[in-house]
Amino acid sequence: MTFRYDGAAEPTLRGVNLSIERGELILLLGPSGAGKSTLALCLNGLIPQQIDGAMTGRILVDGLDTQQVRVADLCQKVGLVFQDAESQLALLKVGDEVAFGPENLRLPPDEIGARVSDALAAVGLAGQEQREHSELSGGNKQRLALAAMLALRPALLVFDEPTANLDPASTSRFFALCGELRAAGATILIIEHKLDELIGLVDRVAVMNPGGAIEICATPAVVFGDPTVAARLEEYGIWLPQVTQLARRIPALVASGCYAITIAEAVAPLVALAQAKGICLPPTAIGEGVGQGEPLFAPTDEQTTVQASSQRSAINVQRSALSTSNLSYCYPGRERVQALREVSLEVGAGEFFAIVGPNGSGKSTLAAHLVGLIKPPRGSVRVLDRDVAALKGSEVAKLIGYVFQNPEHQFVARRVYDELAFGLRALKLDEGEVQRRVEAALTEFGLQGLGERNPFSLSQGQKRRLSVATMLVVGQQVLILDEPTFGQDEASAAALMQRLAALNLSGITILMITHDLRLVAEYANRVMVMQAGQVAFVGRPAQLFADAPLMQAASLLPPTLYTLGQRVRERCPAFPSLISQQEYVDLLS
Amino acid sequence: MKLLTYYPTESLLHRINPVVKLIVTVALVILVTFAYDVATPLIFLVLLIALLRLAGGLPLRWIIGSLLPFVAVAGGLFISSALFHRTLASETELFRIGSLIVSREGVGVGLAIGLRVMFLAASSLLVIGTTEPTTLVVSLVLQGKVNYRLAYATLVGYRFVPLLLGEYRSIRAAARIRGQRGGLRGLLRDAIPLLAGAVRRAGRVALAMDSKAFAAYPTRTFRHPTTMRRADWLFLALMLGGGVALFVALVAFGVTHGLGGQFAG
Repeated sequence: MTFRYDGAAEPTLRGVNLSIERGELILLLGPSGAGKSTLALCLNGLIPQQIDGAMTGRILVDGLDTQQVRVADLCQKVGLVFQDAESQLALLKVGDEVAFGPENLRLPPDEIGARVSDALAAVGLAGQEQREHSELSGGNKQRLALAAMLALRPALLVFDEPTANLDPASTSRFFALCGELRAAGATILIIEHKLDELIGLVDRVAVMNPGGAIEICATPAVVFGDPTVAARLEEYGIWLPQVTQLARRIPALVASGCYAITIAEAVAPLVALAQAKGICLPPTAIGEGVGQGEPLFAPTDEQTTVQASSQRSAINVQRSALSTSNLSYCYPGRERVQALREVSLEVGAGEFFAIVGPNGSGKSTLAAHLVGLIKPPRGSVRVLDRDVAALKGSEVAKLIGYVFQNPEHQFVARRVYDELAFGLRALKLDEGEVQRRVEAALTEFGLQGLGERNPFSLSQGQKRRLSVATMLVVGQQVLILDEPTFGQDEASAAALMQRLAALNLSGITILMITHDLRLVAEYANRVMVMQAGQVAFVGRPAQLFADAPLMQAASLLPPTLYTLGQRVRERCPAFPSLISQQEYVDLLS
Repeated sequence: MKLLTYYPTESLLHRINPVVKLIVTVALVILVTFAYDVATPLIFLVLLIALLRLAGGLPLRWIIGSLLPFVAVAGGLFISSALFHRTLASETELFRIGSLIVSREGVGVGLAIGLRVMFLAASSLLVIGTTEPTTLVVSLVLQGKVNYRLAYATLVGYRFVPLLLGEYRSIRAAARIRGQRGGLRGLLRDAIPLLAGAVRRAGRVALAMDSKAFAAYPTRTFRHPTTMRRADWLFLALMLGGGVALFVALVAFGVTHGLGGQFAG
């Protein structure tokens, strides 16, 4: 089938052919803008019945033609769950939300009641009917959105990036739920970027290319295991499983034809490679007793950590970029909850510092103090050796840039050019100098030729780059970012992170709030864990990942490549505790 | 304890059909509007608060806390009437502040107006405090014969108010980071991302609701339909009858005065 939105010059979907069998779990991949969400909206008839456009070809769901049968009837065949749980929940209470669909279908009250309890039980929210969903966590809101769909008893469930707004622990619980539904016989089509945990559940992977067609739909082993297909996915900017990505960057593994997808598949080839490189003892030397005992010449964790982190920026203790001392805070009207409790923090100039922790642990509250959005007590927060409490807002803005999670929130102008010029004009620079600096920033951040565009009309990746550029154009030496890669495809996320790494190397201090421990592993030189307003940990990423009780308490999951390294170490104790792709490549190339 | 929103508890008033409570509220407010003296709104106000406390299970702290914002409004009206009512100022002088004369009549009118505002606020608590918004919508559709599409659209809008407020705070914060000031121009500028966000959000909600067959049929069923039971009719009759009887009695005893005192007989 083909579909073109009204007013669009080009069709979004072009010759899509796809067939889904009952009981399958299909993962739909594709770069941003390829039309994945459009395809999802086609499946329950919202396209073309509610959203106008030209559609050719046809979609049959359980024998029903989506262009002939009303959405009201199709929704009992296809249930859609979208990315943003908050915008799918129309009512106030959990039970009312789930009852909403069956009520619209004019089912009798008894039947509705039964469906509500069944659906809530299926997603693990049994007995919570009377709760208001504003009290639910993000993960449970998404479960509720799913329950509201299950109450319509659809044959096919379609998830459009259901975990995009969830923290890592909720994400893995949501995937586990997908597995349970699949085991109970549900048919699922899921659009998702976070492949590593999901890939084990997937029957087939469908890949959309930038032209809006399904390029391939086959088992994960075929899609990621075939080097030419995997190369094409990378070219399109599609996320690959981290293990696959790693295997593709180590020449010896490529040469041996190893294309692992899961951790389990990668352990043996890595151990073999490590043995060949002489990092481990050959298998004959490790008898049963030796293998379980102390490694003969394994470096201690400390040594490996230092070695592994040699690539990262060193901690410059001579000069402090950001510091807080015993900072405590309660939001007005919510005095019982301490948002921050005696937080003391010292970030050296030139560090790439990450803050992680569950939603609501105080990360953003801390950041708000650092940039003076919440006025800190005198002397408790210092930025580049100046007391934030004593500075005016505009003075803080010259020292420190803050990139919000939603880039749109900080756009102040109607043209990209003026957006960048805004901070410079506030400094009363002459227009020639402003133009010179704006042009330089446009080039540096890959926004050439977009100066006349409206910031709101840019793509997600461009918006994000623009928001970073506006925060550095005045020459700020410290940059705070809230979830910098949120909602971006592989290509633009990687490009942004490399830009940040380059900025960091040029001396700019970066403080990044994130849920993505992969980013922490790849880029941060130190990481802080916040929990219930307190600092639970500060140290090197590898130390954090090794602290299993702390990781669990903070709802954090170790990044894939760290876990992979640990699994290799079980069989090859001398193998260092690696955490990032670069470290593996450096060690094994 | 969240003020000025639904207060969840078990009580007689919580069980009454929301449409009945709405009718009673409107009727009592209209009734009290006819009285221009101080005592009538005061008596009705005290009785209503007693009703909210005893039959509605609402704690006094909640009632008073919820009424506080209106005290400011009522107080403003009282002061403006008491101090600046020119024709009344010349009658019975109480005291002077500079060139302003405070008269007994001015204070009386000010108090009467202020108390009526307080009664209006308190009677709205009869609906707000004891009714879940969703139940109100269900009864408006079933008993009030309001179109369900309209009623649900309103409810969804109500749900998104706190979300939009949160978004607005975030936009304000972002603007401050950029060194932007507030004021009228700031407000206009903030409106653009806020509207962009709201429009997108509305689109998504609409798709999610369509995906659940909203508005597919001219009617819909309800999991917990509201009905008019004997208790609801009884409550309606009692409140309307009791209110009117009390008003008539107060007029008869010469307590209540209308505009220009025409009830005084």
